[in-house]
Amino acid sequence: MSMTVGPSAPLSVQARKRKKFWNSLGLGLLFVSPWLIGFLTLTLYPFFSSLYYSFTSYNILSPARWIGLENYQKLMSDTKFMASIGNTLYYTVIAVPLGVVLAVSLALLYNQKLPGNRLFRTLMYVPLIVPPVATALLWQWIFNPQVGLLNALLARIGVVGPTWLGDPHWSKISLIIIAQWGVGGSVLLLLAALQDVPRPLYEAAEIDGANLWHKFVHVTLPMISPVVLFISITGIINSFQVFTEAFIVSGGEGGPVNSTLFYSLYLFQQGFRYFHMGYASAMAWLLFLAVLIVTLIVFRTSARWVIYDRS
Amino acid sequence: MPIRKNAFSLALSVAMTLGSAQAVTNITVWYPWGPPDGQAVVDRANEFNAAQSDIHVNAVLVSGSGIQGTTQGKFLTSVTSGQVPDAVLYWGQDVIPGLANLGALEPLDGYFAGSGLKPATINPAALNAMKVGGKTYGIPQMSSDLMLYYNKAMFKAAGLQPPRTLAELDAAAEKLTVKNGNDVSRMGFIPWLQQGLPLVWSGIFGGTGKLVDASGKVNVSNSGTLKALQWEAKYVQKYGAANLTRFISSIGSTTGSSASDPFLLGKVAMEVNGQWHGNYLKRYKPDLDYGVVPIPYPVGGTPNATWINSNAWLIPKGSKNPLAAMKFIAFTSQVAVSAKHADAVYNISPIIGASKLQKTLDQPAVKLANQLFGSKNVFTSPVTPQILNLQNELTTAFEAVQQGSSTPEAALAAAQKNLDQSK
Repeated sequence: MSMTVGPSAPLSVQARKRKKFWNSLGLGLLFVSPWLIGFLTLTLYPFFSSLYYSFTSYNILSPARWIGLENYQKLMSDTKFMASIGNTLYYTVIAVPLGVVLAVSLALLYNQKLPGNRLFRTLMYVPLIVPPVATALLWQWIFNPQVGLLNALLARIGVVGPTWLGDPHWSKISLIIIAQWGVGGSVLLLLAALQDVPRPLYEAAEIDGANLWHKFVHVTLPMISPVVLFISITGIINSFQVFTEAFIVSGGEGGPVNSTLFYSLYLFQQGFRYFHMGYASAMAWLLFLAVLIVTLIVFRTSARWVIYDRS
Repeated sequence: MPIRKNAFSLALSVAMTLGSAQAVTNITVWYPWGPPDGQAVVDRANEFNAAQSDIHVNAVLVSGSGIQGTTQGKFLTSVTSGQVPDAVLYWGQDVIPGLANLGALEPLDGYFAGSGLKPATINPAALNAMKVGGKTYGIPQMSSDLMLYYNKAMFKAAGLQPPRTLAELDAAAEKLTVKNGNDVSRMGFIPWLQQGLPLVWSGIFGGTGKLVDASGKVNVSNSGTLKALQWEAKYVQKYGAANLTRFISSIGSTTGSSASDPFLLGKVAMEVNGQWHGNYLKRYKPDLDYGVVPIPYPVGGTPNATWINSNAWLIPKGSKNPLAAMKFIAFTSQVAVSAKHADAVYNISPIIGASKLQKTLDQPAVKLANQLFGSKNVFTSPVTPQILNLQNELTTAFEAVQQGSSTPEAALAAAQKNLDQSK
C-alpha cells in the first residue's frame, strides 16, 4: 500500500496535478455542456444515423429496413438526380468565380478615398440583413418581364429583356444574379485584408517601376489571397447547398421544367414530400463527400497561389 | 383558523374542479386556414362545446394543418413522437393515399356507429375518393368543383356567346386576345392559368381515370392525358411559347385566388376556377360583370364534366380520443350545420340534402358548382400512394410543352420513365 493512497494521506504532487487537471476539465466541460449536449444529440447523432439510414428504406413511421447499396444504385440511374447535379454545377461554376471577381473589384473601389465611401460600404452590406425569403420575393418583382425594373432598364437601351425566372434558359442565370446581391459579406472581409497590406511593399514596388496593374497583380493579390481562398471555399460550399431562393421562386417545384431543381431542393422533395428518407440520406452523404473532395482539391492547389507568410 | 378554513375550501374547490374536469374529454383539432375559412371552423367548435358537456374541442390553427405549406412535416413529426392532435382538417384529399400507406392515419370505419355519423349521408363520390384499399381514411368536410368564368362585357363587345365546346372556347379565345405591339395586353384564354391543372384537363379529355390502372400501375401517357396536352400545345403554336410565358410571368398571381387574379384584373377574358373564386370577385371587384359555365368539352367528351375535390377530416394514428373526435366530425356533418358552414366559405356541402339549404345558391358560381356536383361526369384525383409524385411529374411534363421545349409525346414519356424509376 502506497503512502499517497488513503483518505487522510496527503496527495503527492503528481496526484494533485492530476486532480487539478480533472477539476479544470470537469469545470470546462460543465461550462461548454449546453453546446456539447446539443452537438452530441442534435448534430453528431443525426449525422451518423443518416449514414445508417442511407443504407435503408425508411419513411419515418415504420422501422428502417436494411437494403444495402440499393439507394446509391438507384441514384445512379435517376434522371432527375442527374439533372439536379447538372443544375448545381452550372450554378456553382458561374456564381462562385463571378462572386469573387465582383467582390475583389468592389473592395478595391471601396478602398479608395472617395466621397461617400462610408455610406456605400453600409449600403453594400444591407442586402445581407434582408431575410433570403424576402430577397427572393423582391427579385421576383425585379425580374417581372413586363413591368419589372430590370427589363424596364434594358428597354431604355433598346434591349428586349428575357422572361428571366419564367424561362428555363434564364432561370438559373436569374438565381446567379440574385446570389450576387449578397456580395457585401465578401467585400467586407476583402476590405479588411486590403487595409492590412503593408504600405512599404507598394513603395518598394513603385521604386522598382511598377505601374498600377503590376502593383495589383504582384502585391495586392498575393497579400489578400488567403481571404480569396476563404471566400472561394465558403462560396463553393454554399453553392452546392443552394436552396432557399430556388424554393421560393419555383414554389418548391424546381421549375420551370426542372431548370431550378438544385441538389438540395431535390433532396428536400425526396425527404419531406415523398418521405423517402433513406434515399434522401444517401443524397445527403453524396453531397457531403462531394463538398469534402472539392474542398480538399481547392486546398491542395491553393499552395500554388495563396501566400500566408508575410514576414 | 380562518386560514385553515380557507385552505380547506380551496382544496375542496380544486377537488371539485378536477372531478368535473375528469368527466370532460378534451380534444385538440388542427385546422389549416386563417379567417374567413378558419374562423368558420372555430365557430363550429364553439357551437359543439356549447351544445354538450362531455367533450371540449380546442381548435388550433396550424398552416396546412402541418401536412402542406410552411409547416410541412409537423403532422408526421407529431405522429412519430406520439404527441398527436385528435383530428386534423386538411385542405384537400391528395395526401390521403400517401399518409394511409405510411400508416400515419387511423381507419375511420370502426367509429361511424359510435359517433352517430352515417356514411350514407355523405356524397358517395366525395367519400369514395378518401378510401384506400377499401378502408375510409377521411371524412369530406367541404367540397369544391371547377368551372369556366367568362367576362360578360368582353363577350358582349365581341358579339360572342359563352362557349359550350372546346372548339367554341378556342375560337372565342382567339377573338378576345388583344395585342399591343409585340406584347400581349390581354389573352382570351390560357388553359393552364389558375385551376387549369394537368389533372383537370386530363380528366376533361377522359384521362384522369386512366392515370392508374387496375393493378395500381401509373400510366401518364394514356390517350386522354396525351390529347389534353396536344390541345394545350395548339395554344403554344398559335400564340408562341415565349409570348405566353412572358405574359403569364407579368400578370401577378396565377395559381391562387387573390386581388391580383388576372381574370379579376381583366387581363384574361376567361379562366378555369372554383366556385370559391366568386367570393373573391365579390370582395375585390364587386362591379365585375361575369358569368360561369361548365368547363367546355372536347369532341367525344362529355358535358358537365368537372374535377371535384374535398377538404378532409383525418384522425392521425395515435389519437388519444378518436371516438370523441369523430363525434365532433359527426356534429359538423349534420345537414343544417354543414349548410351554414358552406355558406360562410362559398363551398358545397358534401352532406346529402345540405346544399338545398345553402343561402349562397343565389350566387351564380355556387349555384353552378352545386349542379355540377350532382353530375355523373365528375372525376377526382386518382387514389394512389404515388399521387404527389405523379402530380409533380405531370406538372413538369405539361410545363415542358407550355414552354415549347418538348413535344407532348416526349414530355409524357419522360414523366412515365421517372415514375417507373421512383416506384
